[in-house]
Amino acid sequence: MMMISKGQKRKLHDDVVGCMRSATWESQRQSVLGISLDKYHRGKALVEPSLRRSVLIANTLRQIHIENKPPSGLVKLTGPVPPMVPSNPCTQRESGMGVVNSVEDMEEVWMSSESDFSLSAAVSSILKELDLAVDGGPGPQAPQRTPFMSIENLPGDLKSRQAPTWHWSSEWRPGGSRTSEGVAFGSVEEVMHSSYLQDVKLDELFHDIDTSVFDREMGVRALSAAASDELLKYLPSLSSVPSTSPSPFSLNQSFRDLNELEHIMEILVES
Amino acid sequence: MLNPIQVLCSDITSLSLEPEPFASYTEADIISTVEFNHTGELLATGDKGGRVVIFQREPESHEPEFDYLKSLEIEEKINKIRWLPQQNAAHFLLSTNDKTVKLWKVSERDKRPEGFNLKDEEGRMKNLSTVTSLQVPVLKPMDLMVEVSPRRVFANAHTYHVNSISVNSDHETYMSADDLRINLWHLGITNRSFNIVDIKPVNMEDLTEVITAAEFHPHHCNLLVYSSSKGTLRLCDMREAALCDKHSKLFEEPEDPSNRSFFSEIISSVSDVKFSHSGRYLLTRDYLTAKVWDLNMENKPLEIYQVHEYLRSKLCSLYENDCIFDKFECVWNGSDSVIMTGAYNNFFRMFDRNTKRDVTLEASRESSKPRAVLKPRRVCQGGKRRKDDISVDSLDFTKKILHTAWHPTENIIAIAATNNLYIFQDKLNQEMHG
Repeated sequence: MMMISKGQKRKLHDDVVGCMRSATWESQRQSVLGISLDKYHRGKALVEPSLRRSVLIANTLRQIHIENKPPSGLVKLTGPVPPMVPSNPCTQRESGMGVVNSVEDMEEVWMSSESDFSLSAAVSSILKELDLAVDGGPGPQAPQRTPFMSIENLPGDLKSRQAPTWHWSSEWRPGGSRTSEGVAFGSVEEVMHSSYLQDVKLDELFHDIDTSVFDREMGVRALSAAASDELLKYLPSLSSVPSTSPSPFSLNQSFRDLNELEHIMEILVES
Repeated sequence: MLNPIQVLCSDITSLSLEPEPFASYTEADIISTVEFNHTGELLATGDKGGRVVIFQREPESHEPEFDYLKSLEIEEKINKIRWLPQQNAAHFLLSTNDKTVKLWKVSERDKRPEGFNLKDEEGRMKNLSTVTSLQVPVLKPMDLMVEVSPRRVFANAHTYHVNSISVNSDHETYMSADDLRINLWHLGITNRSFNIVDIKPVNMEDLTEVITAAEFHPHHCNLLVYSSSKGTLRLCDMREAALCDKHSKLFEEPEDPSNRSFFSEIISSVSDVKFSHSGRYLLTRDYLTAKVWDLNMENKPLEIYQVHEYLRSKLCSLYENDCIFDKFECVWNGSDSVIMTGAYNNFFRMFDRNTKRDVTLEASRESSKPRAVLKPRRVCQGGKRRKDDISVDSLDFTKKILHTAWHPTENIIAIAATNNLYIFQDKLNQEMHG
């Protein structure tokens, strides 16, 4: 059985093999960077989106970004620089993520600092999208909501009881930043997100494209995870649709981030 | 004491969930959890299609035969099953998928009354004139009938995917853990749960760590442990605070700088954590090793076992094909002297903590026949190669043993290999020794 069960013929493949054989740290860094971005990009199409996997990939990307020189003691880069590495490696990264010191820097190290800036933006957008793709939480801007009621017990339960709303007695929670509806809040986010998609706004978003696929989805009461993945797949077509009004629905934002990722990939692959 | 070098005799009950042998399986048939109950009489498996299958041990036979007992269909893939300690004739188990935990009652009926005065054997009314004497109906054995019924549904408490459930030693509460939160439930109350751990940051962009597994202490109902994707373990005491965000103890091994790579964090991610039966130790599994921790020593593990160190040079490929994200589980034997965990190529490994010996065995139809003795396997990395060795590059990475279970009192193990369940017994050392 092959080690790499999915052999993909692409430009990066040679670098992956090189990563295994060659001791040059920089080439491995570039390979892992390319694989990570590709993984993240394809990760959204996974049948089972995994927050753990996404977080680990994002952390790896961060680490690649931060470690721009090999740890001491490792073999220094002596061989020919692989094509993906910019011709003038950035040496001004002490100033922090995404910050460029001066205009000259910008011109001299144009490729790498733009890659860095795009990379940090990509990492940010990855994590913003985690909230969206894995579980639909709209983020910290969501307003306070009333507690959500649980599903009734199945018939056959011993006592029939009224389902009270979620609440916690005050002594269970020692004050602090978390509201007493912490857990309900999380689950309500998901429910509200689902019902929001049923609103008229959704029709506006899909105004210019064929909605016959979605007419079926709209009939579903609660937006299942499968349905929302289905929707996300169709969203790329929105990039050509100008968003008329600032939509509170955050998909447009993640769309621009998606385009940014595509852009980064192009830079990396073609350079 | 189990001596792994004498290997396990495979009294294989190879229970495939597919009717024909070697039939191709679907994603739904992949077993996702295996669990013995507290007496070892019952064995439950769950699969990705949402089916729970319960096997029962043949009481009469000297050798462990586990026969199919019952199956039930739950929607969505089953992530974990945990049995409740038995309190009456019925058995209860908790199952969970990504969002919802359910409590099931498994009850058996193996007797029925016979010898009615007014009805005959088929249930028809007797002709009263034929009844000349009275008899007392007696309970006679019948073919076992098993009923499984849902008793509770614990829903709407998890935004993220549930990865663990654990029944508390008080037998009244249990916890469910997802990527970012842990909730405490009372088994009898479904419309309320208490959040006891929450590691979700205000901005998801700041998220760098998730919860990977959680478990209650086997004896102290106030203690629980949870593991993270950064390789840390946190022991929490529910008596200290209602919200256990501050740990009582933090177990973390300092990173070995000579082994540092871009994948260091990923391979340090703990995929499973289990208290020993004694409650004194913790067993954890990360990508390449299994570690035993002493609860009294936080700065490093007591013992480290290399499960498949030969994969260290292949991490880049394993990252690319996603195998590096596989979550292997680990288990203790009943006396806490041996630990076991799975690997690739349908291999699983056992480590004897006392003798420091270890063995690699394979669970597959091809290499095992009923009553045969399992042959130890070896992976060679170059150098001297023996006859039946397998080279690292020939390993089948689609055949992974993620889920295993060890009988609570005997040397009987259950191994889930994709869609097949294998049960092995150590014939030579049937009883557990300390």
